[in-house]
Amino acid sequence: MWWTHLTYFILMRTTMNIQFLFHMISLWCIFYILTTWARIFLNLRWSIDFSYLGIVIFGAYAWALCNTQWGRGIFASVAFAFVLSLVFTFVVLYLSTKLEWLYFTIGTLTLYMLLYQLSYNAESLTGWAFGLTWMTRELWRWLTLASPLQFLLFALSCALLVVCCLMYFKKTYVYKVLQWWGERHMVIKSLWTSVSRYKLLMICITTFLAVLGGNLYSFFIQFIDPNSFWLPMLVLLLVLLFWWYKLSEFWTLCFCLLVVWLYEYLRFFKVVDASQIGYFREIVFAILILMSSFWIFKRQKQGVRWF
Amino acid sequence: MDLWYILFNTLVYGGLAFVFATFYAYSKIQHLGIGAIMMFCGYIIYHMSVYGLTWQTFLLAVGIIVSYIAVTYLLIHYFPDEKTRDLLSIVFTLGISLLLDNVIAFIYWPSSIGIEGVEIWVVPLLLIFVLCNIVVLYLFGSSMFGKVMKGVHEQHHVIGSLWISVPRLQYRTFFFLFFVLALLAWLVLVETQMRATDSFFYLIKGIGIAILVWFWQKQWIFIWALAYVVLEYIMFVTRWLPIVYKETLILLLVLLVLLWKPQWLFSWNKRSV
Repeated sequence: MWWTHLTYFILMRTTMNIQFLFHMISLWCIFYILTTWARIFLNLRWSIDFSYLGIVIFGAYAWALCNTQWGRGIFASVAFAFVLSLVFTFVVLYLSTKLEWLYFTIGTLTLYMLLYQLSYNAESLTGWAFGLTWMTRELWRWLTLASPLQFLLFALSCALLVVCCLMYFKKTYVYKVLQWWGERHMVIKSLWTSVSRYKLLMICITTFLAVLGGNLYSFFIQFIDPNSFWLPMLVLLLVLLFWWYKLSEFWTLCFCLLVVWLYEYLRFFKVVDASQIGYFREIVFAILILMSSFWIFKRQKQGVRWF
Repeated sequence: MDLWYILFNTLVYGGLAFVFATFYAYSKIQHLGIGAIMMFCGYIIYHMSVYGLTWQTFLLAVGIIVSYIAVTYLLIHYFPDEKTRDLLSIVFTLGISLLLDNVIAFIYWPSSIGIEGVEIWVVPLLLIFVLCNIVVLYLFGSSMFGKVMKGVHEQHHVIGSLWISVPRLQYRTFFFLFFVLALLAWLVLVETQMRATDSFFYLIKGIGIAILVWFWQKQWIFIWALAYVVLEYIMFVTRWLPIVYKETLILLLVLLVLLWKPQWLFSWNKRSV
């Protein structure tokens, strides 16, 4: 049938292009880290926090600034961004103690927009709307990743490390308490257990993952501008689609691979003109978000609990 | 003091705030796509002013109107639970905003557009401002329509039991709101320039002012918009603070409201003094 021929053609085209494979797998690792933090947060917090999207982009800008302005490597920029992001997340923690449900979501959306504003207008730092470029893939001082293969190995190592740490973390008592807190927080409170301590731990973990994902993103593409603010929004909105189904790690990896494949295919194989590929990609993902968010909530209406 | 700047921005921000607040009032939909819809209408109007009514323009115009109503219909009738609709409307309309912004950029690039040859100066703007206040004060303050719509919002089952078609009232209101968005887009095109990437900033201004007006006091929306624009003018346009940060003011005000009196947000009860 025609669609099998088309599928075969597309698969052959992508697997025979080594550069495409390198880019796709590298971005797959980064995307997996980004979706993981969103899933953890949604699982444990049961609400949408847009401020974390800002932390992802802050991490990306931190790497660009550390490299272009101060000549530092990615390890230094992750540490720098993590420390500054913790301050920001303490503000979010304060908001979360005062606000619930929709008010919290609106508040975090406002914080996200504040960061977006700063990225546009802090010209001396962020390069205004033109963004920052001319970064080198420097790990630590003289240690630089010169080839796509080296970056691929580095990205795979990061993703593998995250997977192993999460698998271990899920077996710990702390994770179980956090999960109970997400679902039965009143029970936890009634046991005279301080919920704030666990909130702080959760925020530190998710902040680190968000910062790491953002750093790796700009480390990978070697460019960052305010338009990148849409990427973590896409990640969050797409995660909502599959979070509801409580996917295992394996299916999450498959989902990330599918999304990244589509993302890179549209860019590599010039489905539309190169200058418009970014917009076309966003259109495809926006349609996907609209269809899937409607269906998720429709199924929720049929009696399956989401909140 | 630049009266043109103050009146123009008051009308645009106040109009968006009015649309956002009214949408939420009668449907519990937080329509974060109104900025993008306004921009999309603007690009269609611009295309018509340059090329006339071509079939592409006609299809785009019909498409945006149909999809606008379809989205509203889906959200209201498929999700009667208001808690679900509250959250879904954020996610769904953000997706709409993303889609429309990128469709515009895909077709027109993120370049600025404007309609030359038509200018509305201070006196007509002032008259429009006064007219808007009279309309909202009458519509939502003392008219029977305003009282019925308030009933629709607070006790729609009671209104429905009076053999008043609540969906018909809602959809007439939503058509009117779409017309308001198209008018705002035309105003932006003739008075200044429009760029698709600004849609989210316009939206945030509208939401912020709607929050400041406590949503349920829609009749004072343009007055509060005027107060906000004057404050913005004094703080940023007169160079007291860098003008590039003027959007920060509304964001900080929203955060302050959230931290101080979050019940102002989406609340139907009058604030206790």
